[in-house]
Amino acid sequence: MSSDDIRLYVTIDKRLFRDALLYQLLLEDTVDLVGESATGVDTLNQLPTAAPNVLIIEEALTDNDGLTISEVALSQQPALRILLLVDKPVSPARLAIYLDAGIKAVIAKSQPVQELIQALGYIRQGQVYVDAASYTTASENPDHALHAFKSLSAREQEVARLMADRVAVKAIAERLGVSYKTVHSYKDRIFVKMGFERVPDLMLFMKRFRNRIDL
Amino acid sequence: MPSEPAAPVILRYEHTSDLDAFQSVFAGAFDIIPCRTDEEARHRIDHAPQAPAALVMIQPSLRNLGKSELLAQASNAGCFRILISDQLALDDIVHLLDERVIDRCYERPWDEKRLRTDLFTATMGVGIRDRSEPAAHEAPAADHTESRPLVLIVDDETAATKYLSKQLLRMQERFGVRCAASADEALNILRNEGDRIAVLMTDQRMPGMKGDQLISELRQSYPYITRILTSAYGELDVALGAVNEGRIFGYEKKPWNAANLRPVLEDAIAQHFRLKAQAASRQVQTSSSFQSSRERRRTRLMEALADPAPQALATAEVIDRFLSTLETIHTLNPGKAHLRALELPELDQALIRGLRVEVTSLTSPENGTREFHGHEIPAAIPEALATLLTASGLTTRSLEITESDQALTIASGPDQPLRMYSHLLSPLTGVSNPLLEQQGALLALFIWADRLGGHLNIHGGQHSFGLTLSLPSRKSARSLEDHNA
Repeated sequence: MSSDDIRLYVTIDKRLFRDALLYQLLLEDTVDLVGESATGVDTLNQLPTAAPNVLIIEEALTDNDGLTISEVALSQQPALRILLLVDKPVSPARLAIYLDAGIKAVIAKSQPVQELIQALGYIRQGQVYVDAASYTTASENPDHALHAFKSLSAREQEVARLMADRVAVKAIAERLGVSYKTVHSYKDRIFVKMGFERVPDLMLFMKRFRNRIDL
Repeated sequence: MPSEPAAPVILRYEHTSDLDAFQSVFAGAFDIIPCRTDEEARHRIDHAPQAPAALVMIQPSLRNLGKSELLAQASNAGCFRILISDQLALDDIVHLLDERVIDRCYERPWDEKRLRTDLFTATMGVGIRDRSEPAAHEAPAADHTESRPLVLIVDDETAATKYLSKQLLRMQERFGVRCAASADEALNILRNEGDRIAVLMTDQRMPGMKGDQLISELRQSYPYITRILTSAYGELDVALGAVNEGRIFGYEKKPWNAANLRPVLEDAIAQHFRLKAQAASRQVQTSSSFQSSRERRRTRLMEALADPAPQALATAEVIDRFLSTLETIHTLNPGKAHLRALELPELDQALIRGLRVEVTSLTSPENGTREFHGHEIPAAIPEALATLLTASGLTTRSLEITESDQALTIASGPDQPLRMYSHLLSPLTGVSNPLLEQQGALLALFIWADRLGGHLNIHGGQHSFGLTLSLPSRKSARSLEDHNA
């Protein structure tokens, strides 16, 4: 862990949602979890000892308003970077209030998890992140990844399939009769073309693609 | 307002390829007005049906940008000004940003997400908030009555800082010097002497936290300390991030020269006092405009909720007692976000409507009664208490219940006050369900205390309050049976 790593605190009411998000975030080796809560009041009680540098908090908590809790947290720890999770995309007028209150990033629950991870990357450096596209227009075309997959070479598609089935790189190399290094360069190309950063992204895509789940 | 079309973005470009690249990324999200010349752009700023939100200049001639009439006009029109170029010299950028000639500067290729965030915040009118910080040349309002200000120098090359510090102290007596060998050490010094430190000058390259990270942290935690970045290397990308995000006052190349640095540091100290004075006067302004809106809201709440209003919830005396109680519970100081929320026309109405729903359901006699510690009390009272306890992270176990022949008294524990982070008369950023539930619960307790001939006393604190509710004793049937048995 180095100094610019994320010391994360997560405040999400529903346990299942919190766990699912944490499984994703802990795949990032720059993220360390220093605390979690289901309520705003518990968050304020824990913050001084947990000393996070990033707080992900739901707006619609059951005990107190998540935005008000964020304001109180910032008055106590002004350097804390807060990502607010909102139930649905918000109007620009509302978003302006969030940013004026010192919130660094706003993510709607209708957005893909990759966008939340991207936002974390920006706020980690103290930058503000709001994605106009997610608030003003319909979310990104879900066919994008599908087109990207179809444009992969036959070999790349095969490697993608094997990787999604969690076949080890060494085994893929043996099966295709190529070197270790070649498989890695296939992997890099696939990730760049598909816009993925991690194997789980690819696994989820392949499942959805094969089962023709319409997003 | 959300329903109006967003303000346009003026794009001043030199090459069609830049225009195409920009349009292909941003045309879907923003209304872009491309302009090939300064004259055209100036004309569009004046004649656009709606004031443009931002001016983006892609690689115009960088010469004389400080005197650019287009940039000056854009500034007057309230445009957020973004410069994109690849012929940037860091000294020039720091100067342009510091003098508020431009608001942001990026190298090519631009970071699409960053730029999108800037444009989007500009169309909402948030991006230009940095202008409230004064430019370096504005008239000083220095206040040197405090003890001698300090300059904090952060660099892991301790021999160099020690030498510079000695030289600076020998040269002058207007400021003191502190040295730190790392960002962590600097933050420690700030925790102890933060009030006296006027300027922080940090090297970029250090083990652990880097200079730009320290500056970014400082901007949040100690916004009035003037920030100077130094580096022996030309790390343009890092420094660009720092000047865009951290609003640094200057960029000094190493090796240092004490004679050259002294006037820079003295200017930086003057800047510190200017910023502090301006922030203080801004806080006074914000407080006074909040004060008047708070009085207006109080009057509206009285008019809408108290007799003789058509859907009154209680007598004027009870509502007035409730509101006066809220005034004793201290919450956050008002800020920009709260003033912005006040502009939303529906805020007060939403509060009144929401409160009416909560209180009506909690004060309806149809809820019946229930047994509570051997007493028959309206079921709404434990329900309202539960709401206040949940918001405080407490349970009914934390309540102290005492009973006598005359009264049942329910009080919050002395070491476990109830929490209230915002209320009807505090600065608000919106109307949330938890807010309405808490306010409704407290008002319902006032109403029940009044109806039953009891008392509700509240002692306000910081984000907290103590509660004592006494009700005339009314033993429950079961309790009487137990007693008889």
